[in-house]
Amino acid sequence: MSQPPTKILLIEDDREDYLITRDLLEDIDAWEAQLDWASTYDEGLAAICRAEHDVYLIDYRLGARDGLELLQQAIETGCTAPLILVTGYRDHETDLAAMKAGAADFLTKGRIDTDLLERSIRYALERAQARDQLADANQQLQRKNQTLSELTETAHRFVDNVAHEFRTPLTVIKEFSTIIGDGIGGPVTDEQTEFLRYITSATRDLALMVDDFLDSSKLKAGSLRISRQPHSIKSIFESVRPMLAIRAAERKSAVTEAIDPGVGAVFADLEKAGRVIVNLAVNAIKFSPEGSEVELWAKPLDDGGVRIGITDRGPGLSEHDVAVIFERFKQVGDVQRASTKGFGLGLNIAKELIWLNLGTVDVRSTVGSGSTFSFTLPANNPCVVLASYLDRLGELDDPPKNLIACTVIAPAGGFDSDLLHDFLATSCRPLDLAIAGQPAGSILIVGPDNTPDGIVNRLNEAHVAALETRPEQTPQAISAESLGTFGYPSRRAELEQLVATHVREPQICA
Amino acid sequence: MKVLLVDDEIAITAALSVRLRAAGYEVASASNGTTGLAAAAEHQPDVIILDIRMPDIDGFEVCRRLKKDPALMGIPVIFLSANVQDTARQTALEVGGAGFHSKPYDAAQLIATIQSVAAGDQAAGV
Repeated sequence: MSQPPTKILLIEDDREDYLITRDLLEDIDAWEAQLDWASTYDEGLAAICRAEHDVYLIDYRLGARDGLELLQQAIETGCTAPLILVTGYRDHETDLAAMKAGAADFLTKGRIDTDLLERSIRYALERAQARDQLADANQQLQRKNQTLSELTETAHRFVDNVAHEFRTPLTVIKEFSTIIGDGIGGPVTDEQTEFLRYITSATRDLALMVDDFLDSSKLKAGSLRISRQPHSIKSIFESVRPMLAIRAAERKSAVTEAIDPGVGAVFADLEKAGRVIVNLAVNAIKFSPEGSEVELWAKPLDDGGVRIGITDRGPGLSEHDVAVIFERFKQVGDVQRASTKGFGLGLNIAKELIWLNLGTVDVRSTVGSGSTFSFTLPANNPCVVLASYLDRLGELDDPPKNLIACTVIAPAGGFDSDLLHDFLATSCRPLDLAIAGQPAGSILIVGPDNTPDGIVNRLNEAHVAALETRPEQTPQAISAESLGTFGYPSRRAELEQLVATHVREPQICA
Repeated sequence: MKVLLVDDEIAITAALSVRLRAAGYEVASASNGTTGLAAAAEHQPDVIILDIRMPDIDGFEVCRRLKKDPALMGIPVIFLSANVQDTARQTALEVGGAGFHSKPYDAAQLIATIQSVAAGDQAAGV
């Protein structure tokens, strides 16, 4: 026989039963069993602790104690070999208790024959082996995961460092070329001033690229922080005006501004929105003939949001180019291809920054009559912002799988009931999605401060946590559970009831 | 008005010195945290422009120590760093920084910040 014998220990206080079991095992043809016998509870436990056997058959009645207790104790001491409980009489409750305690099988004496015993042991061993393999694989995966996390961390630290190191020499080049250009170091000729302008312009491009490079790395890592606040379009335009004026002057062009009177405040990250405008406008200036005009405009949207656009009088894009640009937008990771046509990393980053600002991007163009690149920003209205945010969750490649847990935490001063009502009304569609089993949601936390900023930042935290760790480990999930006020509603009716209850009787949480 | 520059990159302090002197400031400089602290005590500048990443003591720690020294705590500190992460801006505020500019900086904007923090400080001192 090629296989070594399967070592079995019978823990049984009745010699007669031992002999029966031995006979049954001897009749097995498929494999060889080697049976040992322990006649008391303590002797059995000691043998289990030595872990010398492949499988254990435990009698239910062992003097004053029972086999179930032994089984539990064996598992507590770390026994991983299969334990099969054997009883004198059939009892469903003991069977269930044995199963719950971790028994591999439950057999009734008198009903056991060689076939049944052989199959029970074989299946138990097979399952134990599969479980061990699974545990091994799991451990390996965890180790690999750990290594990958460390590698990613190292890569991002590297990018951060490189970007940091680039900035210092860039600063020196830019500063000294402007110092010379400004005549601080002595008189300069007009020709020299023009040469210096090329240096400063190229340095600015390089500085923007370093910013894009850093943002691109952070975007991939999901660590690009976004700080959305209410802003007027005027203040956003003001923040980019000096930069755009410099870039336009380099090509003797001009950037005009037009804000529609119906435009209201938006809820956005000012710096990111500004970066997008600069990226799009710099492209527009670059591709327009020298001395032309580029228009920066803002128009209101139906939902109170704003569309910001840059219209140039450049050569325009063919239908194919427009399609290709959108393709590029999708291929955020494909830096090589994206940069081949001179659109640069900037356009990809712009698209991502717009996405982070809960907006959408659009391009309209006709060959010969210029292009218009535009993007939207949400209105400074919590309902609109939340709806946009929830739409985003649904669009993710790998959205959080857990159902929406709608945790409503009251602010110290009580609910702004109108606001909450609006929020619930507006967010019905994404909630429907989640209830239909679509992975649309994460954990919503409203309050304690019902400001749009507070809500969205909380959403961001919940969303990021849900993506990065197992949902049940997120602080939000833990707090939602420990509050005990909300479960994870799986049906719309449950959700409505939960929300209705808690909107009327808010839980006050510190 | 006297400005102290603390940066380990000599080319940066050189560029800023030229720029600020041309704008009418008196300028002193130091090339690391330790000498920066000593220079602050010696020159009693009106404003300190402080780098973050330096070989001995980082700018945050330099600022913390300045804010603990009764003789120096009133001098406004403007951080000037190539580190543009939000956490850096946040920490700059926490340690008592009055301003933050990233490299490459815009000279006109930096000078405007110097003017405003110096004015704010004088107003607060009155």
